[in-house]
Amino acid sequence: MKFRTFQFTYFIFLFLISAGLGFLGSIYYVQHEARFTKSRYSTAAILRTRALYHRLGQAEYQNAHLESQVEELNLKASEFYEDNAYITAQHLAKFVGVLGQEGPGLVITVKDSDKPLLLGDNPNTGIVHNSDLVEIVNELRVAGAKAVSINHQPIVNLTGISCSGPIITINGTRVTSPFVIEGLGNPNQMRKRLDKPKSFLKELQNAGISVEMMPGKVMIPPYSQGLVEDT
Amino acid sequence: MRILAFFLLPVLGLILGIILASNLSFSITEDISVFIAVGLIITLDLLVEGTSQYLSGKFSLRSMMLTYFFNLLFAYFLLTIGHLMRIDLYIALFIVFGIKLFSNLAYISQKFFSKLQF
Repeated sequence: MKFRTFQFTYFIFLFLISAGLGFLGSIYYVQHEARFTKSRYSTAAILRTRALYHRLGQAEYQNAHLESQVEELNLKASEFYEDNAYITAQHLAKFVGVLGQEGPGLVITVKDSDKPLLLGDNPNTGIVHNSDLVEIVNELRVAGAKAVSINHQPIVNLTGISCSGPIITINGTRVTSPFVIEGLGNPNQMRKRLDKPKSFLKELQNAGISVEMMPGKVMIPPYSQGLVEDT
Repeated sequence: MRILAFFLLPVLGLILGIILASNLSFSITEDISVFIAVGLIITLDLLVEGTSQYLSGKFSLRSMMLTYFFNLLFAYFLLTIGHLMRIDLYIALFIVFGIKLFSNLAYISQKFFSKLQF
């Protein structure tokens, strides 16, 4: 077999035409894939399914990647939590009151007197004052409370308990009667100390103020005000 | 060498075309699938016609390109008219180009096997 003349352009033509054939044929195949594969689904459904499958695969790949990252970070976190400095910092934060605490303790409810005032009575005697609260906190601390809060306001070293008219301000928040004083610690031990006949709470009770003591689970919230970082 | 090019180049072109089509990711509606089918048969016809012209020694790329262009243009014009008139004119196109294709194929086979001695 021999060709008459060699024409380079014919080979270019051959190449281009077969490229066009491949192009059009593959487009036609993709469009009528359902017919070629005898599927009972339409081409659009097949294409949609394929796209969704592709996206699913991508999502699974991302998921696996993120899971491995989570494992890495968990490992780092466990190392961090086991670190000595972290444990010390936790203890200090609890001691200062920046971190909230939970546990068994004593709940003291102090309420203003319900008795009606008689002529000649001093109205101050039936009211809980800021100084009374300070005394109660002192007594609780002496009795062995590790942390104290009044109406969910933690008492820390920066706390001021001040009187402003009919209400009392603690940590810049106003609290009113009844005062729920929570002390974290051994409830029985604290109760023994506070039930002594000469304790301050007994004096308050004698003045007509209702005082209730209940052992129970207490939650000291974290101190969050006045934590200025750059002073 | 020439024989190798004769068999290798179409395969390379086909692969190139398939890669192009798969990478460009067209979104084709059902309406224009007839256009693609007609384009396919015109391209196939041109391939056979060009080969027969090459074998008879009067091949020119320029005339081939012009033929292809005007064939496509007129075929698509007819298809559009058929679509508007709701007549399946593409059957006429398939018959015409099919007859052309087979006559050219007959010429090619005669050229190929005329030198063979039985």
